[in-house]
Formats: sequence, C-alpha cells, structure tokens
Amino acid sequence: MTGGVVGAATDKVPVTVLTGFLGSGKTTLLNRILTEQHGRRIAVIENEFGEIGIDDALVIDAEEEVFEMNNGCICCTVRGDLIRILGTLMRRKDRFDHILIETTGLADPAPVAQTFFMDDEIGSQLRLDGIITLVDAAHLIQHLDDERPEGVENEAVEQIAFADRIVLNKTDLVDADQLAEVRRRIGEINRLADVHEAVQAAVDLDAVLDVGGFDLTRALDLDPAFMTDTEHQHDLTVTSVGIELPGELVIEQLNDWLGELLAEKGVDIFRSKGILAVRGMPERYVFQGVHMLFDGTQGEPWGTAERVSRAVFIGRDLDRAELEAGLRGCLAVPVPAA
Amino acid sequence: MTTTTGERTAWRTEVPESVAAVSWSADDRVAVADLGGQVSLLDGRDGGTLDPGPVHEGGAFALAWQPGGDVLATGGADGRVGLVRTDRAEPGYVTVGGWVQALRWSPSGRHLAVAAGRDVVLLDAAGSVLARWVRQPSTVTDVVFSRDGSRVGCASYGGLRWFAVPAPGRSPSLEPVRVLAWQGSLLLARVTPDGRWVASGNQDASVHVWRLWSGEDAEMAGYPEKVDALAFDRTSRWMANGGTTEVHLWDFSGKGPMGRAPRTLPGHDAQVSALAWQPTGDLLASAGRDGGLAVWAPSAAGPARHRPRTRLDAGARVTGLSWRPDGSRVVAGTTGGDVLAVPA
Repeated sequence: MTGGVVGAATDKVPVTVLTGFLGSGKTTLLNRILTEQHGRRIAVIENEFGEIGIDDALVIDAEEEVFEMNNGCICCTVRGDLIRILGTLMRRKDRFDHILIETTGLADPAPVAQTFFMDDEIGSQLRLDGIITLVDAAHLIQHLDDERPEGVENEAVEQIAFADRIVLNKTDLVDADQLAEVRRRIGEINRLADVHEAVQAAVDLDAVLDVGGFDLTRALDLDPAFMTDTEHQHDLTVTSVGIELPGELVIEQLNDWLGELLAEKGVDIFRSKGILAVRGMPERYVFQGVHMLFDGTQGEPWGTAERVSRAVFIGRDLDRAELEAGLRGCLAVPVPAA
Repeated sequence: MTTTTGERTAWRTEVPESVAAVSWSADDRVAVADLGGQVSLLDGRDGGTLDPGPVHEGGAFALAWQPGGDVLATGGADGRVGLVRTDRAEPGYVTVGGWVQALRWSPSGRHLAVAAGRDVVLLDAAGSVLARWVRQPSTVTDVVFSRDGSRVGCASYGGLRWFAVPAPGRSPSLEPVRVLAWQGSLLLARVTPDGRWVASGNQDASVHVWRLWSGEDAEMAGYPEKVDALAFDRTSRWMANGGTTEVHLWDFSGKGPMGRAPRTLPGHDAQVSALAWQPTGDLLASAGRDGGLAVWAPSAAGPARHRPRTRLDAGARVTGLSWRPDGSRVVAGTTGGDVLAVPA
C-alpha cells in the first residue's frame, strides 16, 4: 500500500495545496502570493477561474477528475487531471521553483494528496509541502455545523482535518470571543495544524509556501502538550489523537500494525503522521499517511537526542486507548501502560 | 545504461524545449513537438531545420503524419489541431477545445481522430469537423481506429468506447457502438495491425488486452509502475510494453497471450519510457527515463538472454521514438530538448 516517496528529499520541487470554501479569500491569497513571489517561479493549477496574469507565473486551468485506482482499496482515489498536468510540468526544461494547486471549496483534498503517493513518477520528482486550508472566521462554525445526510461528508470538517496549516481569514469581521470559539472548534478537529490569523488573506509568504507539513520533524514540534494529552476521545466526530512513547519500536511489528490499522480504519483516518524511533535505525523513521496509503522514509539521525516515538492521527471515531495500545505493542520490549 | 558504447548517431540536434513527441514522415521529414509549444520540422537526412511547424501555446503534445499523404496533424494545450500541408507554407488550425493529448489518422488517411479534453473530434483531411463525441467518462488519453477505419476507439477512465465513423453526408451517432469496459485509468491504447486485438497501458501498473471480435479480455498486472509505453510489431505477433525496467514481450500468436509468460529484455537501468517497432523488419527500439536507448533484434535470439544490438545514452528521458519508414534509422526526442537519429 505504499507508493512514491513523499517525504524528505530536498531537490524535489515543493507543491502546496490550497483549499478553502468559496468566499474564504483563496483568490485574494493566490493573487498575493503571485504578486509577492520574490523571484520564485510559480506554477498555479486552479480549478476555479481567477483573474490572474502575472509574469513568470504559469496558470493552468484543471477540471477536477477523481478516479479510483483499481487496487481494491475503496478510498484510494487520485486526481487524473493532476497526473497529466504535473507530468507535463516536470518534463519542461524551464523548471518551476514551486507549484500551487488550488482546489474548489467542495473538492476532497484526499485524492490530491494521494496522487503523490500513487504515481511514482510524480512522487519521485515533486514533494508535497503542505495542505493549506483557508477559512472564513465569520462563517466557519456555520459550515462546520451544517447538517449532512448520513454518509455524506461535511467538506468544511474534512478540509480542516486534512490541513497542515490553517489561515484563519477575515478576523476583522468577528470579535475576540467569536475568534476564540472558532480557534477552539478548529483545535477540536485538528490539533496539529498551526493557525495563522489574517485580514484580507495577508500572511507571510513563507507561512504558506514553505510549510513542511509533510516534513514531520517540524510538524510534530508544534504542540508538545498535545502528545501527552490523555483526555478520553471516542465519538463519531473528527478529532486528533497524539501519542508519545519512549523506547524503540520493531519495524516489522510497526509495519504490520500500521498496515492493518489503515486497512481497517483508513476510511475514517484522514491523516496520520509520525516520527518514530526504530530499533537498529540511527535515523528517525518518518511516516505519514492519507487514508489507507502510507509511506515511510528515513529522517534526520537521532544523534544524542532521546529516542522517543511520536505519532498523530486525525480522523473520525478515533479510539485513543486502542491506538496507544497498538503502538505500544510494537515496542521492542513491551512495557505496561502507566 | 549510462555510457555510450561506440555507436554513433546519424545526426543530433536540439529543439527549444523538452520533446513531447517525434514522428518521421514518408518523405523523410522529422516532426518534433515540444513542451514550449513549437512543432519543428527537421530534414531526416541530416537533422537540418526546415520550415517551422504549428505553434500550440502551453505545449505541443501530439503529432501524426497522414498515411499515404502529405498532411501533418499536430495538437497541444491550446485546444487546436494544426494541419501542415506540403503544398502550403502556413499551417492551418482547427479549434477543438481541451488539451489535445492524442491524435491518430485512420489507416486510409481519410479521417483524423482527435482527443480533445473529454471529447473526441473526428476531422477529415481538410480539417472539417465530421463528428464530435462529447463528455466521455474522463479525459480522453488516446484514440485508435479499427483496422477498416469504420470505428474510433476512445481510451479514458473506465475502458474503451467505440464510435462509428459516419458515412459521407450522414450525421454521426453520438452513442457508442461498443464499450469495452474496465475499471481503471487507461493511459494509451494500441490496435494490432491485423485488427484482432486492442491493448491498453494503465495508470494502475497494468496492461489490459481485448480480443476485438469476442470482447474476451485479459490483464497483465503487477508492474512496478504505470505502463505508459506499449507497441505492437508489424506482424501483430509481439506486443512490447514498459511499466518496469525490462521490456516485456508478449506473444499474441494462436490463442493469444493468455497463460503465457512474457519474454523479457533486460538492459535499461530505469523505467522504460518509449517503445517503437521497426516498420519494415523485426527490430525494436526502446528507451528509458534515464535516457538509455537500445535497439533489439528480439526474434533473432531464442528465449535465452537477450542483448541489445545498439545501445547509447540520449542524455535525458526519452519521450518519443519513431522509425524512418524505410527502417534504416530511429529518431529519439528527450526532455532535454535533444533529437537524435540512430542507425538501426
């Protein structure tokens, strides 16, 4: 179930996925990125017509084309349009420094991310840097609470769950209490994404173009308290679970457990990330997954740092105790839970 | 395959951007489509530059010389088909809409099928639109003709859909006359010269084949990567495909490839990215994503270990291979913008 290497290598061209509802300010942010690009050559792949015409930037319109891979994995969908467009971009002699993929408010971010796992040609040359979700501070809660028939996803919840970084836009339209409530609701779903507040989508370019969301050494440093949070979380809503375990894991057991977990619960687990200490491996073992697909790479050497494994799962109906027991079961010398 | 082993190229030249397709004409011209959007026409004898060809803003992707004629059809990101006639200096254009990823002439050269986004457009040699089959299940990645030219096959997600070429003066039927369904994303399709089989290379690392008269099908799955190179030889017996670093050769004689193991031609260090059979003989040209280029004589040797008769380094990923119609040379185009002609 693993595909191309999504992680580490730095000579790959970074790709940023920009998602958000209509009206959240995506076009404003896109225009801002393109006008303040500071010499970076950026290619933009967009699903919605914008009015952008900037030198040194290439804007390509794409029609969202999601299809299933015929490998018996029901949630393994990819974006055919992106495979074609990225394939063409990668072969050009004049290279781009960065690729931005803008998705519509209703688009599912999973097929976009999964495309990087499933197509080896793309995975070998491009690096998914991060998924940025732009939200409208004044309307987010209304979108999150929007009732859906059973089995139908709430796109706003999904887009928050998938995000590596959230730009909380239009903060000037809400008061302090409302803002705090919006931040609380975001944190309930996704504890891992860092939230940048903005007015008129004004954020530092580096905050959106160099996220390293799929570079876990940074991503997991964001919220150390979260990793040891043992508050009981077990319901049908979308939440995040972080686990921190000292000691060393056995790679075979880890692969078995992760493989089985994602095969069984992959539909409900949107994102999984981890930096793990593996017995016999001097480097950090970095893994991450989108639904059922996951991929492991070698990260930085541990050196003198304490070998501690940290993993995060974001999804629906997560059972912290079960997840923790599972990871604990991969420890080289099993130790009973505290 | 990273070193040149002594074979020399007949000629070598450059075009402005990464090559997307090459095609050698009966009158010894080489058409080269590049991702900068330029179609270049080169002299097949020495690689010298002839008149510039059509331009497709955003990238030129596809080329096809009319069989038995003198029209070059081109396509690209601008949603236009370029038509170059020997007797006219300026190329003509027909707007079809959508990315033109593939175009193919019918065996007689009377019709041109064009993959235009999610539509397939049928033109005559003068560029008049005869039919437009709209909204296929997904973007059309390839178009093929039946051997008699009466049907157009469209490859997209979900299989191959066949449409009838309308009789002169009749309006086209918009419903497919046949659907070879298969749940997968087809990247390219090829029909055997004898018209008995059609095969597709697929995104999910497989090859699918159908016997056209019965619809009986089979799948060769389990390749390490997507299969984006596939070609039948002139005798309709051998299918070569990529998807891995070896060229796989499947025997279609008799009952077909079902139940048979493929022959393998090991010799590339990277995924096979292009394949072309000699139109006059039994040679096979193959190329890899690393720029490795090889010419094989697969039928000369038994199933024992094959070695290429020619191998060299093209310098960058080979994205197009095309033989000179007399079979004496093969031309390769690379993502580095190099175009090189190699003696057989």
